[in-house]
Amino acid sequence: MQLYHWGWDSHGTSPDDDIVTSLPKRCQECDGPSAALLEDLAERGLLEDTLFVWGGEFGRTCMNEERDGSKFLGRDHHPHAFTILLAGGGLKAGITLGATDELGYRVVLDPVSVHDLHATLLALLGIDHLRLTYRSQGRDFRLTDVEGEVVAKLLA
Amino acid sequence: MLRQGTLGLGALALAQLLCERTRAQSAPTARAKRVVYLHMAGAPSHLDLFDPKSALEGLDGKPVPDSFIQGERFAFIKGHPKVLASPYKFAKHGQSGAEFSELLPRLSANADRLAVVRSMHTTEFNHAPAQLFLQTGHARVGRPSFGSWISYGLGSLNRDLPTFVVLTSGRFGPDGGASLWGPGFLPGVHQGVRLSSQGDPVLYLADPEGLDRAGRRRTLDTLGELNRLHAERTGDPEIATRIEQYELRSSPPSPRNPSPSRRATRSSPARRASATTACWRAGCSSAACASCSSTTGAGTATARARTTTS
Repeated sequence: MQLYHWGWDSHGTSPDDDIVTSLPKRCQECDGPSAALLEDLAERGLLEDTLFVWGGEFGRTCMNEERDGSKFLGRDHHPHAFTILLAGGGLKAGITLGATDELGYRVVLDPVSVHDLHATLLALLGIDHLRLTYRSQGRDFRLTDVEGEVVAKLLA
Repeated sequence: MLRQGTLGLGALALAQLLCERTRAQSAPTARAKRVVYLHMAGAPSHLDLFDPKSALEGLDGKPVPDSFIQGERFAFIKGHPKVLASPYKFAKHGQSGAEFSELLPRLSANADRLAVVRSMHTTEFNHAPAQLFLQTGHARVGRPSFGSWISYGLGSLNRDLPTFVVLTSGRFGPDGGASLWGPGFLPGVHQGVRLSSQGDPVLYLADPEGLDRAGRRRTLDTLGELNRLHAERTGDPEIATRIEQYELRSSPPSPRNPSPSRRATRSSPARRASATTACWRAGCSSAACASCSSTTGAGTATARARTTTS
């Protein structure tokens, strides 16, 4: 099951997308429900065999975007480093994995690629990402293409 | 919250592996049966929520050091940008001491349940390709989504509900569009079913005015018969998908109270066939695996289903 929640693109071109007014609104919309879901799953024993993933598609720059001289504070798209939250079946709980440099610009410890994330989530579901294939147009395809390693440090 | 969201969450029915052998191969880590993926579309700032950097405070408003941005392209930033420190306070939470900003008080109270991965990175710096990469493993459209791969790999024992469901909230849907939950080249039955938050959660489930349940059942049975004849003649797997969709539509989701008789008689040959395909593709031997050996019996399963549902 997936849920997409709109509105995290905090460029700082107006109060509708800055980090002072808009970002707290998005957090307020998602913080309680996301936490309640986690807590309810845990309370019912379902978190043990459910994977919970929370995060976006990239990070934000450590620099102010200032598009066209905007006075609102905001950050541009940033692919080199971002944070996601994981929880549930088979994952270590209460850990922080990896680190970024002093400006949060690049990953300097335990990098996790998108393929690594996929390989890890599939492993937790009991699926070997190297063996889950489908033949299309003459070759076998994988979710992880020709990459991806299970992140052992995340596994309980 | 779970009670209110029963419809959506009840549909998290990525039940259990149909191929025990696939699971056995990686048994030490096989712990989860389903995934709830909350994608914050547009991409939250790690620096304001999860990854505090005191060095930014000293540099706030000053040009970022050259060494960081040499050769870099940005989506919007032009010229030499200035550093922006986070206006938010961070604190350590739980026994683990994971750091969260003050913007997420409820999630941070769950610090000891979470694994905070601060070292994610991607190759894409615009929304649609980055979302596609995250959800399909490829930055351009056409590949099966993560949820579709799981549907293909795990299958489902639940005959009345879609295996993979999608919700969207907020002013707009995600930039990557329906491809984010599309099946790509996998059989169409594995695509995510987007549930509507207003009116019927899935369109066309309700019986049209003037047509009772029995009448609709007869219509669908006849349609199913014609579709199966067509499928046998053409071998097009998309027809199996279509049959499956009509059958799902004929059973409005009632996750609290699934009808036992329906559960017993619906056999979903399309879904089972595709799940067992996953099994032998993964290298199972038909002698050792019950799921594998039933793959060739998909036609038989279809015939059986027809008998038991009529």
